[in-house]
Amino acid sequence: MKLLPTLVGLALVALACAPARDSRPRIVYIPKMVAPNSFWATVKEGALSAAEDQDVEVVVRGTLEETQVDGQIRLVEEAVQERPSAIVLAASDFLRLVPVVQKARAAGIPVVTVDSSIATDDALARIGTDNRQLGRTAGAALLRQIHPGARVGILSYIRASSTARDREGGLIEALGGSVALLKTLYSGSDQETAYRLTRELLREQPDLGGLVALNEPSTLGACRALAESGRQGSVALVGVDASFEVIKGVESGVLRSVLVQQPFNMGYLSVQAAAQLVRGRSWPKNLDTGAIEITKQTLFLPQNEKLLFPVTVLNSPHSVLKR
Amino acid sequence: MRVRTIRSSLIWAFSLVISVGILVLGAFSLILFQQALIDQTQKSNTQLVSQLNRILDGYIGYMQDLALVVWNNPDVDAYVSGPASGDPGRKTQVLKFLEGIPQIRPDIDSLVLTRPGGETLTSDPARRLNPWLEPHAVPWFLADNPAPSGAIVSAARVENLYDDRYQWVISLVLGQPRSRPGAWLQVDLNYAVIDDLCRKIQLGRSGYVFIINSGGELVYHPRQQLVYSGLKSERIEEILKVGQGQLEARVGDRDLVYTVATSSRTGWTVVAVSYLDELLASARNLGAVVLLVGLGCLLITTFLAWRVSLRISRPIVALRRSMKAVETGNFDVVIDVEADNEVGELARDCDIAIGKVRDLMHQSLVDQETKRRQDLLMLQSQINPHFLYNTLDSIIWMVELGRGPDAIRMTSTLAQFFRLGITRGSHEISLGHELEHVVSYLSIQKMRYSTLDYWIDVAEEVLDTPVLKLLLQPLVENALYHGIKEREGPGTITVRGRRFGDRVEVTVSDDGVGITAEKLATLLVDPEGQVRDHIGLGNVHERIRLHFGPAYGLSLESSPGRGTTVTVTLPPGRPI
Repeated sequence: MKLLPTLVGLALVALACAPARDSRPRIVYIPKMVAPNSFWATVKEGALSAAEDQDVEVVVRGTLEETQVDGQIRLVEEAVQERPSAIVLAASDFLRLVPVVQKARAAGIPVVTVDSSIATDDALARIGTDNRQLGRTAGAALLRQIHPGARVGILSYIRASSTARDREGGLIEALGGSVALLKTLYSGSDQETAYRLTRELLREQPDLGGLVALNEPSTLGACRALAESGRQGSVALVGVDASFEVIKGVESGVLRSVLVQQPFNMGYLSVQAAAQLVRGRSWPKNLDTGAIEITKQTLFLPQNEKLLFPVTVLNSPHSVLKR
Repeated sequence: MRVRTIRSSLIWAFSLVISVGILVLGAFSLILFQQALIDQTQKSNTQLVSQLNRILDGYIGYMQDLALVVWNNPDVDAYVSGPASGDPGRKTQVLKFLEGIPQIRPDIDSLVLTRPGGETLTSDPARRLNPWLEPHAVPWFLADNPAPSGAIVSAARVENLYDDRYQWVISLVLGQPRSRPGAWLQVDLNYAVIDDLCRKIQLGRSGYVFIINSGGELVYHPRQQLVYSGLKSERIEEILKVGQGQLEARVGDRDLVYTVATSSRTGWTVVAVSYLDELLASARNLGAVVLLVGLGCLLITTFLAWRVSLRISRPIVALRRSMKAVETGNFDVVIDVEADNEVGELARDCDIAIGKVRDLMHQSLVDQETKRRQDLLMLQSQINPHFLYNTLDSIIWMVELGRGPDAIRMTSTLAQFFRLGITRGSHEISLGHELEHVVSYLSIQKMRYSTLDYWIDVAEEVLDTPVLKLLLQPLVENALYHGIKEREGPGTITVRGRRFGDRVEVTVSDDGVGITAEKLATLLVDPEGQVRDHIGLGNVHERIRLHFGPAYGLSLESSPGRGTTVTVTLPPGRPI
């Protein structure tokens, strides 16, 4: 008789359909750091919001400092041992996290990178800012502020950094031949160096028309030097990444515009991506969360206020938006 | 056509009935449950949004009352309306008044009083004003409407009035009445109050509440940033159009229900969002439970059907197996079916029927045997030696007396008698031939016993009736030896033959001694009890019955001293 196996099969199907709350996918989220840093706090808030919306469990594991690469590698290894449904990782090192991500992949655990990816193709999805696109946007922002043919300086941060190269490449692409580009300077991601380099640049180039600083310390250093020189009227400064000081620079008019990344969306989308991949749905391999250009006029627009002053820092008046 | 066993038919029928029942029941209960769930959710959401609106009205109303109190304070009034240089004492008075308010109500972040010309007093003198704020910039509340009247309530905004301090607030502004152009009072409510209030509300698993102002700007939204960056959208325009009530919409890839309530006091619209798929998820749970219960019932039913059908079909199968054996000719099978239902009864009936058949077959064998034996007896009696010796003695005696012609006649009659008896091998002969035989016998006997007389009175129409060979002769012999010879004086034997409807009756009557009633009763009964070499009436009776059927045979009628009549009843038959 074939009836009995059919019935048993149906019963199993019914059991499979029955609600199973405890089988919520478990996603381990490993940021670059868990220190009270507003960028990562906002990424985490986005991740937790997505966890609610996607009905997944998100466990946060992280080192205290961004520089604790070994600690992060160990955290990923431990996570692989636990066999979660997926891992969301903000790699603190482009190269050194590769083996452990490959290990996760070999164990069948999908890995999604957020903000900072790794050197290989082993992450199933990358969520973050397309730095080349960010460079292009910065170039377009500058072009609106300067005359054609103006002399323009670029203040990058680390020559070997892939993000710095991408941002610079996009910027040069956007500026094209319409400006006279000066030799790129490197601040080493150090605000003091950026300040010193900008001062020298301002002294050497009396007819400087524009300057683009490609990360937050560089932006802050350049902003301070330009404010001291009093030449903010003739030199258009465009920065990247917002912090409390950067916002003040925009408010004071020294910074003409600043490009702000979207940490909340990064966190949200990375967990959404992980949840979708766990559930067998498709997700684009690379997703650009984009960067928003902020000027003094748009600083207090509702859509930007939320970006610049996240709710997580709602009641702390001296919050610092810093990467 | 495929043979459907009773078992599978039963199981299929039961399963079908239970499945259809469960499906119909399940579908109905699901639909009703879903409807009830949606109704209930809408009801509770409606309550929730109106409740939330009342609370918000309370906050905003309080802010407005507070603003009015400040605005109508005589010192404030005098400060705002007074000359630009002002009275320092009054200014201190006003500052003190303003400072006191946030200390009473911590949810008020600050109060800002601006008098014509731009001088600004705040409730917290420790805070420096934002140095980068352009002195002649148009304040936020004048951006859309340069000449507002009454109170203006902002959406959620960041207060940028202070240096080094960016606080999320809801602002209420009283300002610019005709009497005091350029003067305004702003009350900032800490946004955390609203945020805390709304964030706690959870509708279903991922349902939520959001608030928009009359301009469609977000006052509160738990995913405000996603909305602004376009990753999430709400049907703001449709919601504003509805104002109050329900709105079903498909947003992204999910169906949801907006429950909307607008406050006339704040102009804010509170919207509760419930996802239909979450509502229906619990209905789906019910569906799964119904399905599980249904499957359980189905399994039990199938099991029961299986058991019941087994109970029915097992005896039937056993019965069938036994009948198969019977078909091959084995009547000795015992149908051993243990079932206390109709099938059991049927099996018992079959058993009885088979027994009957077996008995009948046995009977038929016995009958055949008896027939053969009686035929043999008949032949033996035919060459009854006493009859032959006696007749031969008579012939000898006749010859000795010199009665030659008589001896010749007797001898030829005897020859005819035997010829008739021995020849014509077939069992059945016509009544006419049998009568010839009887006549031969009687004429021989008449020659021996002169007192004997006989009559043959048989209708022409019955002469063709088939009879068994040597059927009548023993009767005549009986009539002679047991009827007439036992009596003194002459006797007569009469043989009559007539047809009465569908039977033929041949009677052999004598006027001899007759038979007593007691003896009469026993004569036909027990053929086995007869002497072996003697043909009894019982034998004849049995022969006829075996040959022509139980409706035929002999009947006796007698009274002592008056003679006996034996009636042979025969079927008319087809002529031989």
